[in-house]
Amino acid sequence: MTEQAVEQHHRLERDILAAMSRPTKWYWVALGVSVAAFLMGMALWLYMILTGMGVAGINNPVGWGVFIVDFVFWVGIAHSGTLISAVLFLFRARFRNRFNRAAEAMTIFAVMTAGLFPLIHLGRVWFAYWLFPYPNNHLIWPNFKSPLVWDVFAVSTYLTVSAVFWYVGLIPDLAIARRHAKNRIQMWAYRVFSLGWVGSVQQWKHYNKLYGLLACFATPLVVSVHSVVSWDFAMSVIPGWHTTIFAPYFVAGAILSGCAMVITLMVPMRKFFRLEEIITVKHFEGIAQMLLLTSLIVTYSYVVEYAIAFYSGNTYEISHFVYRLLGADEPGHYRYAYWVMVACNSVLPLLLFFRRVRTSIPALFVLSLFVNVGMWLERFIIIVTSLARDFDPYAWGLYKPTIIEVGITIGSFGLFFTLFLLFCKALPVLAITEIKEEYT
Amino acid sequence: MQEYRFEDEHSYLHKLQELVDSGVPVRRIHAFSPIPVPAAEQILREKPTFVRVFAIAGALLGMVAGFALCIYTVLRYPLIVGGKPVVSILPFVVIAFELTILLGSLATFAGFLLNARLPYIPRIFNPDEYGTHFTILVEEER
Repeated sequence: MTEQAVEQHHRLERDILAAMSRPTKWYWVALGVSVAAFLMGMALWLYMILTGMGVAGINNPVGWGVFIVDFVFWVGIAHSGTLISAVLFLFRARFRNRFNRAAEAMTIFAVMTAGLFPLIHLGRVWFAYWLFPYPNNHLIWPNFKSPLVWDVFAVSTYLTVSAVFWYVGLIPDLAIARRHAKNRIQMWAYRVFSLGWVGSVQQWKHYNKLYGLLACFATPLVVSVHSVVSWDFAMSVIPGWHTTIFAPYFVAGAILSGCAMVITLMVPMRKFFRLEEIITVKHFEGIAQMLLLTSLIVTYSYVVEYAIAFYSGNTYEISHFVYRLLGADEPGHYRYAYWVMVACNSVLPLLLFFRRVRTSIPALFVLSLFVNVGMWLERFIIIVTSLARDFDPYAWGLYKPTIIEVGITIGSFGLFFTLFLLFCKALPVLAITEIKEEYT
Repeated sequence: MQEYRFEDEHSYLHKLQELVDSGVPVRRIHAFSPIPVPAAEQILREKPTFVRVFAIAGALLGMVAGFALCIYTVLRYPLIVGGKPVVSILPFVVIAFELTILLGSLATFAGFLLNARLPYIPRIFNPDEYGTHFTILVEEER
């Protein structure tokens, strides 16, 4: 290690912890807007609880609407956090060090946001605990053959394991933050949460093993969680849902949307906290390549969906997929949503084949917003169109989200950004120790 | 207590090797670094960590617990759903898998805390700070 590297270590600590300094005016504005959106969403939910589910647009035949779309969307967003922190750790992809802390935070906040939606969708939210297996005087138990119960287990395991993984990564960095604490509250918080870490040889020995093992646990978990989410649909017999491609298709889509959200969050964060020297264009290029790869997998899945439907020879499957693409003649159908989705998720990301787009931060930011929109629409199309047109024309119907559902969706973004903004000021936004290891 | 502080990894490792070679017993040497230095473990002849034992024990316990939970509950409340057998192993694999991961991860974390002796209360109140330095402390012979 050279003089230069020693200097780098000091600079890294200073620059990364500088992000936790006194917030600027724009930070307060962003936080204010996010909190306001969140409170609005909560107020609308309260209104819905007091009035009844009738204020939402869901009805027969479309019983799963925007709430379930939001649930799948947010669980999907969560996935790239674990991919970046665990899978890329096992593959020793170096660019991950710049993103893992924020991406893991994003994972936890996205799962928390997602977790609200089954509760919102339940209607009688005060019975939510019925989903958990606990001995009760009715002597009834949840149905473990139901994908909805699998989902409860998958998502709550995912939240717990991601939180543990995140915290473990934070321990050495909290010990650094402890040295730089500016007031007594900060100092004691960091002292308690760094657990008295000193970085002895023995501690590092156990720590490295733990980190590797947790990465090994998290890797199959991330695949299983979105597979289970996809089985919420694929286990049924509804045309458009009942297909074997769903699990890998959902996992790829989750990582695509998650990578897009990482870019959406990291570009402004890098700019506002002046982290340009630490997170370089080269690191963003790594994420852009992931985005391109997953976009290609998603496109392949779109094609395979059609291929399976037509190869099956099943009239309902074929006519459902024709409906998705072409809709019906009267207004209110979903074909435009389908075309926008294909444009956002399959066509626009092809631009990433050009190095100039991959290495342009503004271009990546704009593209990531398009992919976010496209992936939300993908879930909308999968969930809503399939229910709107199943077997019996007599039971067909259209669904349009009401203002309440739109408001609660905006509220969920408010919650997510509020949590992320608080994270930026409370914890080291980049994994200091891991980046230090590079400069030796 | 003798203390050596280094700015960089190489002189730290060099000194560590020197101390061990000069016959100082490893149990009297305490070494601290701001980043993990696996080579130091070899010099101090550290034994492999037990954390992995916790991982496998937790994972197996989770798998057994998952199947046990499902099978016990369906036997307590034997409702036939979708014409499937009451004890259907295949869907229970999902629950068992999730609990394998959950208990495996939690047990690994618990194993780390036990092995690394964290949280260490006296150090929370009065942390030893070595900053960005690589530090070696050598205890006096008693």
